[in-house]
Amino acid sequence: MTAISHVPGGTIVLRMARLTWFRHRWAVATILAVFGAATLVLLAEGIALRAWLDGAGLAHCLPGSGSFGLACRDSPALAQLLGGDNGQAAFFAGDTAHLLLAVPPVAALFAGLPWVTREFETGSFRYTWVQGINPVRWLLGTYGSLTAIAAAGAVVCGLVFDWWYRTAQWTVNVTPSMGWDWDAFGLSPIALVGWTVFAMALAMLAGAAIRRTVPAMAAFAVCYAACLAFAEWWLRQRLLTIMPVVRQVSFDAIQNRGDYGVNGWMTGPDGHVLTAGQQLNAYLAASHAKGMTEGQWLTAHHYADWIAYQPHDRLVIFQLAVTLALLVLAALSVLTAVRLLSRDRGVRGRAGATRRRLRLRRSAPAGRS
Amino acid sequence: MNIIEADQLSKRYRRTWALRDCDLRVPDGHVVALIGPNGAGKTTLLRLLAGLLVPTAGQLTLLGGYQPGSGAVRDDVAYLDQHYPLYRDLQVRHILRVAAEMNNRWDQDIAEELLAAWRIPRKRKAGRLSGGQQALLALTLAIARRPRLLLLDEPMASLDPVARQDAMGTLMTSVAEDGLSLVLSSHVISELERVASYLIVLSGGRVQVAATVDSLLASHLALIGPASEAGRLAEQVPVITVSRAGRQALALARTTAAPAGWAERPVTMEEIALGYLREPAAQALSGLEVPA
Repeated sequence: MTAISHVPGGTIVLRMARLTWFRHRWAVATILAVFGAATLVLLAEGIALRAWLDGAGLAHCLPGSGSFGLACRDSPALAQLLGGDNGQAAFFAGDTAHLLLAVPPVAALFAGLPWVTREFETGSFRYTWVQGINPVRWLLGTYGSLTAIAAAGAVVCGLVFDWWYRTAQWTVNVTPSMGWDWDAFGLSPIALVGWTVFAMALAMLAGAAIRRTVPAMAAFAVCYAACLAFAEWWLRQRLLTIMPVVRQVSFDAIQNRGDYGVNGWMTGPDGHVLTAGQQLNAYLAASHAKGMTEGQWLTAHHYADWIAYQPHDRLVIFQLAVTLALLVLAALSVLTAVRLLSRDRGVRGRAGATRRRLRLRRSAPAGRS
Repeated sequence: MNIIEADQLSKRYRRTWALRDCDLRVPDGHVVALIGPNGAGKTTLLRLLAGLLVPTAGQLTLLGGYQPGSGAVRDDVAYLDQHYPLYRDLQVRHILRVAAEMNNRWDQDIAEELLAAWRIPRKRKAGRLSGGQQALLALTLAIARRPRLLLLDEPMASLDPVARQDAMGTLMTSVAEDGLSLVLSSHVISELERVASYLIVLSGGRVQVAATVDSLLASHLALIGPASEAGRLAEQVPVITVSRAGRQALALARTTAAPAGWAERPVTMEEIALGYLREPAAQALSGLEVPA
């Protein structure tokens, strides 16, 4: 026998990254393909949209151009845009933009899950788990490597989406200060990274728990859809009602479109909140006032309009909160997967430290025992 | 130092006990033959030793007191499963690269040397190799880790006689030069007989025999005598099994001297193993165990 001729170089992180590249090139390619395709579609769409706006003489009206003014507001092109000739942009900027949320689970489904289940289906885990790198490190290392690639893809895709979305959204709701819309809460680059990390972790957990590719895929799809629906349709609504800003507003003022209105109410001259019927009566009385607007009349008679809202600059805080929650869920999923792995096989230290009690009867039947 | 120590080791799959109350003390440096009928618990024992399974009850330690699968022994124990698990979608050369990355100790030279000797094409995917080549590749991966304890679950089953002899020769070279301890599970007892220095017979999930081959050979005799006396023989010496052919009986007995009226001859390891396998109820050789 010869001397040992190879000692692997680098840290465990580097070794796992190299291992992932050797073992799971298809998974890496799938991740890049899914996020790359979404990014390319957004880029093509955004470039075409910008070209169309430029051709219509509206490029200078876009957010950030700093020249939104009367000339822009009164332009025939803008009237045409607002008149409905923006169907394609409206289609994408509306609910369809939420299709972006399908990108992380698709990547996880085809790249974040099969690498676990195939180990079980082919039996190669009986080789992998008895090597120098222990199974927990192998699991975490492979997950970490693939997820890092997916997260990088999500950042790039999210940034391109951000650029595209601001333009597309503006063509639907033309305002000079239009920023990120609250309806697209989960579509920011930050949230997209959170969803991606969570999707990869949930996929790994499904794979480790079920150990068969197709059933694990089905379970992952159901669980992810449930989590997404819960976050988008329930959690967000509850989250946005936390600690709103409450202030009195002028009856004639237009609310800043960048804010998220949580609640609104009207108080009468005695300071009590008016019912719907009382509000109607007040507005009826105001509508008969002469020489002043309804708002002026209501203000003069000590009616007040109140609003509870989340200022637009809080949007990023809420997005960060949701992302943080997703990262916590991802961590829990990873821990559960590790636990499942350790349940079947021991990753323990010296026997004396964790000596197991002999649970079986010492008085064994006749024989060798 | 005992390379394997088991106390009351038991493993249960749902309601079925695959191993129960197994006690073992295997000293360092042995080639251990692990035999038993199908379902005796050989694979379960090897997977427990490899750290792929966790005991349901009892104690199991390796290399002087370490848990199987723990970091302390991970580099020192190699295991080859009976199904030769390999990354079948990878080329052989890439499998070597992966194995090198996955291990803190890896002998690339010996791996290349064995692949060349066994004529395994480096650019072919593992899944496209023949069954025998896959077995040899898996064996190469295990040997190149330079372990102190190598666990092989029916490693020669799919090899032709020449490859089998070559593989066994390579393993024996490792045993001689590196002080490797080897646990070999196989149904081909004659194959093990040539190399084994320690015998473990499992039957019905229990350890029936666990002793050095030398001590077994020294304490067992084949007794030849009249078939009519075979019934009374058990009253004089511990009889493992008796077979009758006409007027003569051949008995395997645990004794060092034949009783009066019986002729004796030495036994082989195969005869001892087969004798115990035929009589699962025949017990134990506690007096023959090599002390820890």
